[in-house]
Amino acid sequence: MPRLELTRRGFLRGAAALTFGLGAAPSRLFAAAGEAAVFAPSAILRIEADDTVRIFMPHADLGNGIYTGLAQVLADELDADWKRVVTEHLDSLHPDFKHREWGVIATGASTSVANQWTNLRQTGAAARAMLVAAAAERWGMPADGLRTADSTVIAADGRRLRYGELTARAAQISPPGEPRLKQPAEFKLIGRSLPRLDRAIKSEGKAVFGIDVQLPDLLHAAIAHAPSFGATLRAVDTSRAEAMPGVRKVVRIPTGVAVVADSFWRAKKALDALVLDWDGGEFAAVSQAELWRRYAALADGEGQVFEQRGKVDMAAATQVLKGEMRFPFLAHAPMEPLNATARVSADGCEIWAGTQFQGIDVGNIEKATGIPASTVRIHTQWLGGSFGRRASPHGDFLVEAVQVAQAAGLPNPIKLLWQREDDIRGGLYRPMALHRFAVGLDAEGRPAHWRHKVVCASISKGTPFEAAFTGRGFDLLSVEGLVDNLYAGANVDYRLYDAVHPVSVCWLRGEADTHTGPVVETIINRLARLAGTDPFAYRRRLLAGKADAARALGVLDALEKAAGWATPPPPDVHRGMAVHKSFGSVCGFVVELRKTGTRLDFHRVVAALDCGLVINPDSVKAQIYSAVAFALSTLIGQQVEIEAGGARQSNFHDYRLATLEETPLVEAHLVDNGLDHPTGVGEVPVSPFIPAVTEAVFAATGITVDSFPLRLEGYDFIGA
Amino acid sequence: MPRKLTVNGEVREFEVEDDTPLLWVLRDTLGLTGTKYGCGVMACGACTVLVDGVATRTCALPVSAVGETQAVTTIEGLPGAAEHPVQQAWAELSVAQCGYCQSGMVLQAVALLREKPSPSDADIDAGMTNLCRCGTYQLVRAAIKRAAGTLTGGRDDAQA
Repeated sequence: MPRLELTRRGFLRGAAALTFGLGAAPSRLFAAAGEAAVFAPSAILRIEADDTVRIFMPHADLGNGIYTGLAQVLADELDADWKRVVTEHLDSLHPDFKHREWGVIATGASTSVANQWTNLRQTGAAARAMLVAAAAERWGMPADGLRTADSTVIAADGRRLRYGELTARAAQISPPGEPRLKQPAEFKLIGRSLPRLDRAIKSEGKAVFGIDVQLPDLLHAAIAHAPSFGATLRAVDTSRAEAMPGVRKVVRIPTGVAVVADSFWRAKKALDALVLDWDGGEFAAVSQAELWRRYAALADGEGQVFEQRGKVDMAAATQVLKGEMRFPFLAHAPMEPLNATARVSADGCEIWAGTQFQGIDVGNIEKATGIPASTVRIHTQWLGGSFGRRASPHGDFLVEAVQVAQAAGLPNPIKLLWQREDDIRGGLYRPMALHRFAVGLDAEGRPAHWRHKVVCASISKGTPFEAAFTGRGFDLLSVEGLVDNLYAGANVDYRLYDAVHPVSVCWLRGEADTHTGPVVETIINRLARLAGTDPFAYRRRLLAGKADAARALGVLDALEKAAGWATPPPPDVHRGMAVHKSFGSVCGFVVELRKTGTRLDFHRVVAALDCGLVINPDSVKAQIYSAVAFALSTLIGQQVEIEAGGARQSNFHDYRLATLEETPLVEAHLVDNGLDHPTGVGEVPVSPFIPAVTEAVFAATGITVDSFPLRLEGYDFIGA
Repeated sequence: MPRKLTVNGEVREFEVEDDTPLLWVLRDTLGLTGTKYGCGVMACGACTVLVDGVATRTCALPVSAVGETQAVTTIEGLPGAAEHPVQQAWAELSVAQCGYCQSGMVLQAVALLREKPSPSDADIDAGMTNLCRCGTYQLVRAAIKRAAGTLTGGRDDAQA
């Protein structure tokens, strides 16, 4: 659980800080101690003499707006003047930046606001108390009678001191043991749709992403990766490439061959002139169809039980629903292609990159290059999207940048930029998954017998996270969202089959819930039909009285009402719904499709989300819109198929992203079920949108969707 | 060979190979990194700039195809969120998420509004083909309408 770290402040101010700070010394803290005019009670917060409240962000903003949200949380308890709040990327690996639950500097799993909620409030409240104590000292009056507002301490007699006037004194005050936190009624910033703090720079092209980093003597690198998974390089002829203009080095690293040149275009042109001889190995003969055959064969075996109770007996069921659903590999495809800039010297290395995983990257770099983690300094930049891709379990693109710089042996910083094709074809995909299920109904139409098989490649095995995710004896990242689902009855037999192949897999926005959620909700929608029951009423019946179901029930109520479900739609409008719990939150959708002849169009999309206490409502709603576009892409054509052991798709012409025209407007509703803290947002709505659409598709066409992307024979639905 | 381009109202001189895409000239040679690389095949629009007012994808456009006197406007050439109605609308609605595609998105919107000062939803659908992986589309649409209101409203005021 979150701990108050402020008590370590005095300790950290001393030389001992070095022992904590992986990476370069947290020089800012030392500077802060020396600069009387700056009050820096933690590595996260710095209040300056001109009243600037500078907040160094413990998490990366992947685009979801958490810099603004996290700043709102801290600034509220600090009673800061919002107009003077400035956010900065974290500038060291100081322990103050650690994820409060994971104990490492990292961003992911929609936890940024939730895990920092208490810590940032305590940081703000403690700093406020110290500023108040400094004012009390100056005025010679008890702190009790002082209040604060807009970065000002105010005495009962009307005297005022700005925070900027108190920084020097506040820096000498001992931090309070347990600062008083506000009651929700006292919040001034939390709960408000404040505009994003990055709104101007991101409308003006001024946000500096990793790809934009400019450094003296910067060189550029492009890389040739294996054309198929598991291929190894037999030989390379670099002679033509080396003779091309601007080329400084051609280097071989474990994952490919890189050209270092004085501009990216020259590096790329020389890359195209390399003559590469790859040995594809066994996997080079494997196609997507062959992979599916292997997955189906695995599901015929015993597998590994991951949830079991009672005795599944289909003979005892009144009706049995059987099915199989298939989900393809998906690439993250953030709009900013992966890149990192590295400079290696005898003292270690410096890296400029957008990454979710600073605290993990340094360890991966040490492991791959031998450069001690304590001498790796990461300068975090804005991330041009990520969706989990910049949380690389093995640090791939950062490691490559360091390896290229090492192999080049030049003093220059070198920016390694993957081309889009490297990204789409490069693996670390959302794993393909095969679900096979049989669900038997009891006399009341409830799922009393549930047999379920999941075939999926393990994400966590062989990574630094294996222990964290396999604690229950199976990889949670393969089955989260199915395991422990609240719909199942007394008899359950769930089994996992680990598929092993050289196609690397990784978490993608929504994680396992991107397949488990659609499967479970599709099953429930089909069962509701078998039972002849309305899908809202059916879910209520299954969830009623179950522990942990209260929030789902609340979302169902809010969603039904917002969508006007009680009123039947016009004859040409067909609808579907789904609700799913993930990342500590619950989200549901009602999707209405209009059918005109053989054409289907979105008519209306209504979302309801319970993400606990809401920090910034507009920002949360923007994530719902965002997740809808993200999920829609997977319905209308997006997939990576394996062909000759490699990826068939390579760029946006064949790896489809939903467009503005294709993406429906969303009516987003935030549901307050009384939770007093925030839970996940960014990934949560991805999963339930998918089965809500497929159910509406069934209602409109009678087509049962069992695989993705959709193929609707005889219909036109955004090209599907 | 030595070349000249007129970028954001300034004549810039430099030397690159003729086949170098305008994108990489802007980014690596002229240091204007607001224009982004997204796909290299003119499929996503992250590299959009205005050439004589026309939205143009630059990642596969050889610099030799751009005339010395043609006016190239990058995101750096717009006056900013405090002044330009499109950037202002973008900021007011907090359109950008990761923000990477937004330079191209803003310039595409500027070009659209020049052609269609009061665009319909269908005009926006047809005009805004830039890809955004964050799915900012709903707010992009709203911001274009807001900017259109400001622009046409401003014209009405001027006439009054």
